[in-house]
Amino acid sequence: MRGTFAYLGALLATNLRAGFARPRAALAQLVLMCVNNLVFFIVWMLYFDRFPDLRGWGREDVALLYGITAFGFGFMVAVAGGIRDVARTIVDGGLDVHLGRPRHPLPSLLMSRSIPSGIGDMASAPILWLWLGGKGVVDLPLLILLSLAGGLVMAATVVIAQCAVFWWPRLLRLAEQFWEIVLMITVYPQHVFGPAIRLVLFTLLPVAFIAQMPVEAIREADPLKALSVIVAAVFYGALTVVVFDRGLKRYASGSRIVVNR
Amino acid sequence: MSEIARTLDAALAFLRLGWREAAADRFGLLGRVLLYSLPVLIFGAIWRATPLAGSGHDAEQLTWYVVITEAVIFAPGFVFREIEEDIRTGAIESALTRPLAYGLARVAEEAGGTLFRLACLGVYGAILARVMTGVLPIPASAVPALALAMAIGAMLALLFQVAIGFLTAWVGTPAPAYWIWQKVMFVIGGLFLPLTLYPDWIREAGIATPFAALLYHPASLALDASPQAILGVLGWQVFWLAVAAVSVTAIATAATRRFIREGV
Repeated sequence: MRGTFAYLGALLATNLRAGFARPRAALAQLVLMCVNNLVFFIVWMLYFDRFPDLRGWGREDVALLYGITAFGFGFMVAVAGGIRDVARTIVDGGLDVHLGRPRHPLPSLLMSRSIPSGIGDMASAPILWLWLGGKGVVDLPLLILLSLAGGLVMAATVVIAQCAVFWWPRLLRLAEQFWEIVLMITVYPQHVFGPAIRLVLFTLLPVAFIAQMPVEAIREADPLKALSVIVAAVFYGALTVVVFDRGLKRYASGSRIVVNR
Repeated sequence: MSEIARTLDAALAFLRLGWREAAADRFGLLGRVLLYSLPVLIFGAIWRATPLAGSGHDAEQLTWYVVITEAVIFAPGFVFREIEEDIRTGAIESALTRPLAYGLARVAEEAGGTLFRLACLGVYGAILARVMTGVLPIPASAVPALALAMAIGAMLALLFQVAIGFLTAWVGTPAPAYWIWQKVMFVIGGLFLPLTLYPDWIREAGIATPFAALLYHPASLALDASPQAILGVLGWQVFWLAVAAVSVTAIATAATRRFIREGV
């Protein structure tokens, strides 16, 4: 177990060094992503300035939702930026590089790069929570915990969907766009939907666990809802490994020879 | 054949090529249609859940508004990334030696793809909005003007992206500039909240910007499609399209000079 953590730590450190190889460009991306998130929230400020209530939700709730999504997504791409390229790597035969290592290929595939702007996403979250969401510093540990669990559900959902190319390589473009689909649903309140759509969002496409359920857990101070997010993270994380391993049996090598300097 | 006619002929060939490429990419189109459906469904639900009494609009009108703004946003794709890739990989070098300017060829090809996707999303969006709302808020006589306004909006979005793509020549990676531009467009352009619902001072300032010409003006025809409104919308759009065309030409020319002087 200690060896696994050391391996993951080394992967992360290497990726962060690579991501910040051009520090000024990385820092600019980081700052601008943070600004970008805050600029987008102006739309919601204008909305709630005009309509103070969205079926029981106010500006503070949407700020929590947006912050939780930003933190979870930011952590995901900063630590495991390879998530977005899973389908492409499989179709191009690029898995060979990861299969040759003495570990399960999934961690090295997901952690094959780091996207510095993710840290900018994470940095915008406390501003949204503390300034616009009306929360205090004491709430930060729970917000961070639920954001990380939500980020794991997001990562799992995106990876499972991209694994579809093991069976149907022609779905590559669709699989590549899937993370945008997940992100797009996550950043908007889902309590406005009817029961049928909400059922889908809690099961087949479990985006409700990424940010909606964490916000409901915090709004209602409901430990069961908070626990359900953690359980969902564990369940969908494990499901990802199962689906990936099943798909791997159908993988045909790209016969790729890569020289890493 | 004159020089201008030859240039136009070549640009038209690129436009047709872009249209055919977009038509051949069926799974890409399917993904885009799926992606496009989401904000329409989400904002449709949000507007139905919003207490709109006294706002001057109803949920049906505002759902149609979002159908139009999202179609304009989704049609162009991410051309700035392709230009960035051409510059970073040096592929632009060979393109610069061709008789048709790289920027014009790129705009023409992407315009073909954009118009194809806009047509698909427009028809699909109209069906979706009709099913969701049960109404058609735009009179049939205003549909050609709406189609033209949407096309101009999408072309404006495309030209902005081309300009951002050429920024690679100076800033290395244009993605942060794109993010900021996109979010300012969402806010000032009125992506899902029409400018008529903004505080007065923002509305008055925003309505004259290119962001409004891109999103709010075409979509405002779902709120008011009177002949005067149509004239106002097209007036603003043609003005900003001309400004954008001149600006993009200047940026592309400056970038090309830089490549010739300093290399890619």
